[in-house]
Amino acid sequence: MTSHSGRGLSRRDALKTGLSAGIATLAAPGILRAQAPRELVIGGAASHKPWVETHVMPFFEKKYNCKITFEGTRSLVNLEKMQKNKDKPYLSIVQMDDPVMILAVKEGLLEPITAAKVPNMAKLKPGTVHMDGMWANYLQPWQGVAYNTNVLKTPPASWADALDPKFKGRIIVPSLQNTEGLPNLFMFAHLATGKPMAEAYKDIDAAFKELQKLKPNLLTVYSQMPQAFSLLEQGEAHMILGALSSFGMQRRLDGAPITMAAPKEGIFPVPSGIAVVKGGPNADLAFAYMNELLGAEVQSKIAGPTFAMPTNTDTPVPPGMPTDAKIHTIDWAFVAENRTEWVKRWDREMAT
Amino acid sequence: MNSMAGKRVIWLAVPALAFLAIFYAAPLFYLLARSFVGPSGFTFGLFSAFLADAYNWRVIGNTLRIAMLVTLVCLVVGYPVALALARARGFAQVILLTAIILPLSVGVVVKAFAWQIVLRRDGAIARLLVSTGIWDEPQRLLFTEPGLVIGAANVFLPFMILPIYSVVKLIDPRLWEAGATLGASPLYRFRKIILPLTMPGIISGMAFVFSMSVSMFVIPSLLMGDRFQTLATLTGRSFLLMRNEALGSATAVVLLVLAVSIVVGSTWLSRRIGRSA
Amino acid sequence: MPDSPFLDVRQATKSFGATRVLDGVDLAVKRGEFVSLLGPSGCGKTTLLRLIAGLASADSGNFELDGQEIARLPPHRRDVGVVFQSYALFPHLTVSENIAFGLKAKGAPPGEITATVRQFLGLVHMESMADRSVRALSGGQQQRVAVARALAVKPKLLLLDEPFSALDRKLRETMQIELRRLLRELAITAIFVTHDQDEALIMSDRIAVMNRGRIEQFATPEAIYARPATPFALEFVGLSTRIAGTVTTYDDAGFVTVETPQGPLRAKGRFAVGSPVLLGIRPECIRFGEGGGENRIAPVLTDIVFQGARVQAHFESQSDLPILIETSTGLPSELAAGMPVPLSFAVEDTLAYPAEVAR
Repeated sequence: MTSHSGRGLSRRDALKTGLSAGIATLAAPGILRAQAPRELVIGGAASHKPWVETHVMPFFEKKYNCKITFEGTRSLVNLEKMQKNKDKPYLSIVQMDDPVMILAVKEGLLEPITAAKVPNMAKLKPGTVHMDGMWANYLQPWQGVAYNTNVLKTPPASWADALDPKFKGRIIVPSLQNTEGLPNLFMFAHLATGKPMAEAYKDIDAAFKELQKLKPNLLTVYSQMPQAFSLLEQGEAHMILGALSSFGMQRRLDGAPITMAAPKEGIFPVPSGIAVVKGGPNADLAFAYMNELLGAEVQSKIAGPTFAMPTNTDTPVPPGMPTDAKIHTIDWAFVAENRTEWVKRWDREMAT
Repeated sequence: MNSMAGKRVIWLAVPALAFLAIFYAAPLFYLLARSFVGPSGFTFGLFSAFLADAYNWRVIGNTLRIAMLVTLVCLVVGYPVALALARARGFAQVILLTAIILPLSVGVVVKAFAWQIVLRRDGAIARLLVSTGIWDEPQRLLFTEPGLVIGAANVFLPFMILPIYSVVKLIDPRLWEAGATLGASPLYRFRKIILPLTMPGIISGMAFVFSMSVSMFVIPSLLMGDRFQTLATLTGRSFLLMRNEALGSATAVVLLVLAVSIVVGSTWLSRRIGRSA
Repeated sequence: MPDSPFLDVRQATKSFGATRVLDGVDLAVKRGEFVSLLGPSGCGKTTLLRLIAGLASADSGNFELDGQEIARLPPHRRDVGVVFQSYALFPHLTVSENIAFGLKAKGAPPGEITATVRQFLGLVHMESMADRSVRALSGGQQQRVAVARALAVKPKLLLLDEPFSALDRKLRETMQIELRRLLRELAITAIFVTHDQDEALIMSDRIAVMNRGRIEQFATPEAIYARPATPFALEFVGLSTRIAGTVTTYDDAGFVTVETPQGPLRAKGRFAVGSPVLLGIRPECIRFGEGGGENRIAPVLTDIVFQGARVQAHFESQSDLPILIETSTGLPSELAAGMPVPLSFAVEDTLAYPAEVAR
């Protein structure tokens, strides 16, 4: 796990942005020579569809004279589509969660990227390109603490605030079954040991011990995110630890009395990964698409609507995002190895 | 002639049987078979490992306790409703029947969210209990076992009422009057006439509600959350999250065996009680 | 007080919605008496029975049984047994259990229950069926069990609601006699609802003829047959020849002359000249030829109906009122359909009713 400070990410440099756009154009001519519009099939999440169709598709189709077909579903389904068609893939690009990317790498389904094929790779924040270029993160929605603004007049300063007895039966956390459930484990390891996150996160024993302190304050452990947020909005719950910014900020924009806080211990980016399918059709288009998604132009368009942090260092951080929070990147390989054990332990130790 | 016609009529059941065979029996058989297959062939290992874990016994206990409580609440609440429904006439009966059947068209998820509102600390139930002085101050009902039982009983109530109603409806009202003219008090008549005659309805209602609540998945996950595992939620998680088909099959088989044996056993027991009453 | 009635119903009134089913009915039944409520369906007889049993409540009226006001008592405190038309046996119980039901409900000691059940099984000849399910019984057997069940609790009053209507005729006649004997043996006061006049005539000490929510006549079977109080009683109980006409003369001895389509006829009665009347004659009072009495008619024969011991002869009439003779002594041999036949009957046997109330 790597941690770094996000301080200064919001500063932008117009010149750099222009430069990266120029590189993208230089890479384009070979593709532009093709006559009939070719098709690029992308497997992504259903929730991606709005921004892909609005901000990416028209721009990309025009620039590269091709047609994009976007299949929105769940990460595990995309994985299955790749497995089933391994000999003759029809997907060229997948947009999936990082943990599923690991599985895809293990099965040899992904094509690594290089700076030569995807020039924007060089502009990415550290920790956003994984397993020697197997996939990269184009956006980072993040996980922090969501709280009800009617109940809490000031944002929680620390994750440990949730342990205050005054929140008896008022705290919600995600299930470890859900991807967003994992950061709490690492944060509680950090709270328990007091060591820096990079050292602390592997001490899962300490995490579980510390979580026992949270038990009296737990209202529930959710597996359905909308339910958790509706409880928070109704005031039955006061805080959700590990809430997703993309969900929480949207609810806030819709007028719900909640908002997101980035406490002093830091926040967790939720990696939205993109990868090229090994042996997929129109590889040149696939790399071009990936390059665009990692580029500042597209990222600046989609970071706002998705309440996420961009990964391209040239992209301005949209308003409302934390600009000076500590950011902890999750060690997904460690997660993949141990998650089943953790879930088992969680069931036993966190049960009512 | 009659038996010939009877034999031909049997063919009418073929579509349903084929449907069940393909979409129910075959997967079930696969599940059963899967739970006996270990890395080195046939084994009881999955079950012995599962049953050796004290936590799993707690899960089994949770599952059975909740299912029994839900069944009991449905019976206590539903039985008088079934009697009233059978007794009601005209418009009142239409209203009652609609009130019972219409909620079946509302999805479980929607109902669970509705219950979330009702069971809140500032919800209707808490306010009622505080205003009547039963509670000194609002307490948490949501994500507690009583909350789960109330919510699940609400969802399954029609499956208790309707079988009992269909039996009550067939009881000659003269039997009640005959009992009265023989000098039997209303309570005695209820115990010795109505109760034994409605026993078949009670049995099927209880079997319905029990088998549905022992295997419910969405309701506990929404009204109880992840901290309360039942055999059904454990099965779901094994298949969906852990991708451990063998464990999922084992828990599913344990659930199946428990549910079937309790339904069959209680049916047998109630029949006996019904006969001796 | 042996003279005061055992059951005394006064001014019983009951309406269902706008329909008045009972319209101020009085009924006084003596201890040990067997009374029939006779009338067509819808006349209110079953409703009156249900009011007495407490299975329905009257809008107004007094109900006294054995000197006690019972109108406010629930049915299980009235000591009034009922044999229902459908028998209403408890289908989940055996024959013995059905008979024992009321005794158990009253908390009788087990020994007494066993003895009483055995006694009543014997009285209704059902000993061999004691442990059968009632579902396996024939109609007649079910009827016996229903009677035994009602009597086993020794009610003050037994009410029977058309208990024979589901039985075939032969069985019905046997059961009627059997029931009459049983009730007399046990000295049970009983009220019996029926629409079958023969049944009422055979079984009853007294018959209350009911029509449209009222009792039109309450008297012994003989009195009702010989002197029906109303045209309805005349028509409903037994057969009769009925002839409509208008009074032409009236004398001080209480006789009238009536002009009818069959010619002038004389009858007992006090009516003003010109008033429309209905004359009724029982068929066995009419003779062939001229020896039967002063009144003579000669209608055309239409039909001869052989009924075993008795023979009926039907004649043409101008209205829809029947003209018929019933005899057990045989018909004149020369009778043939289509010929006019001279008939005669006594003035004393000619009953006269005001025609307005006739249907």
